[in-house]
Amino acid sequence: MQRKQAQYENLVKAYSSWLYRYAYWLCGEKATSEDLVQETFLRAWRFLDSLKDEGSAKSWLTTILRRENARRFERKQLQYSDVEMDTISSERQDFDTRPEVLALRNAMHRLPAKYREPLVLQVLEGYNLEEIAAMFDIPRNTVATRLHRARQKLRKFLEGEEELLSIDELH
Amino acid sequence: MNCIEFRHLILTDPSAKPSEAEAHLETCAQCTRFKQEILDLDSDIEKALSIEVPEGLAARIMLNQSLKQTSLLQKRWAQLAMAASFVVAAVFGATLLTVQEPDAGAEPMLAHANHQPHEFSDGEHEPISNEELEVMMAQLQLTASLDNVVYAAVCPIDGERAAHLVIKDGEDQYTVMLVPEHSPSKMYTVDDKIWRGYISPHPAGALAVLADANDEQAVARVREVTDKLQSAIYLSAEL
Repeated sequence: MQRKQAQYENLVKAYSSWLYRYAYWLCGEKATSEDLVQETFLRAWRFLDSLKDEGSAKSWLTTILRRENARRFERKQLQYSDVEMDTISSERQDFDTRPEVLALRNAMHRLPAKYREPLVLQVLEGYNLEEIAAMFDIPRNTVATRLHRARQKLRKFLEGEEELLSIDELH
Repeated sequence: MNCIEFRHLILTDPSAKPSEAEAHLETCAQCTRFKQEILDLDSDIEKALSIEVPEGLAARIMLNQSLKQTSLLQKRWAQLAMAASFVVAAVFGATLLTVQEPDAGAEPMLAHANHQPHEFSDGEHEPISNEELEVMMAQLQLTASLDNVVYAAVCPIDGERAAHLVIKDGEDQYTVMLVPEHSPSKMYTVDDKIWRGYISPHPAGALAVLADANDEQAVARVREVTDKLQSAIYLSAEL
């Protein structure tokens, strides 16, 4: 039991911050993010014995959190786009508030979840395409396409809907 | 590699440095600028994503877990006390008491089990191959370390795609279902005319392990088999 407790505490210390940030970019609300992280770790405690390889703990916890978030959606039938931008704005005091970062954060919130999620995993935590594909159970090429489109959409948004690439520029 | 291929690569993974991409960079100033723009964009994205984590989060998580543990222990004590009172009641000639557990999403699982292909009732089936099992479980992001699976299918249960297995454990046969989107809060017993067993929480959803109610030997071992299966089926990401 003591060994399990120590293992659990190590996981909490190592991954709670990452899971909170990831949860925030899934749900867009601070309070819900903390709830999701709490639920994730409670579930992790119950099934800690099934974690065979500590090296895969982060992916394991991330998968649990994604499932918890999916359950939350089922329960509340809440769409991400239903989150008022005012709610998001009111939580900005903790953030880097430089205009270019705020604009990008706003763009991230507008990005559809299927593009935002892999981008968060890649940029924030350095997951590679194969790891993201395994986590989402989708082909690697689909992940590549989503990451490509995510960056394109962000650039277009930041550039005021300008086309990303001009064909004349390419050779 | 041409400009289109290079830009696709950089938009997909700006840190990728295959030799073809490096060679293209040496000959194309526009793509060199493009790559720098995307690296700058990623650097800004990282800053935008780095929200502040609330102070004391880790401590609150550990406290919450500890409180849940305490409450679970208290609940177990209460259950023991209740069990003791049952014993006392029995000593004083009370009638047999049957505890009916609340529904744990059991109905759709049992209904599905009742439609299990009839030929699996005779217990004479050959096990399927590990590859077959792997392919079937992968559809649900699951992996199973199981021998002697005689039937495996992805079935609709309660509107969800669920794993439906029939396994042999020694002489005994069990029907196993794992419904990914269900999450029972605790282990429930199943005790009806056809099936006896358990529905329990699993990292991947709700796990039902059922024995033929008329097969006393299988019924006697259903809890042991449930415990075994808890650690023999994983979310694929756990591996």
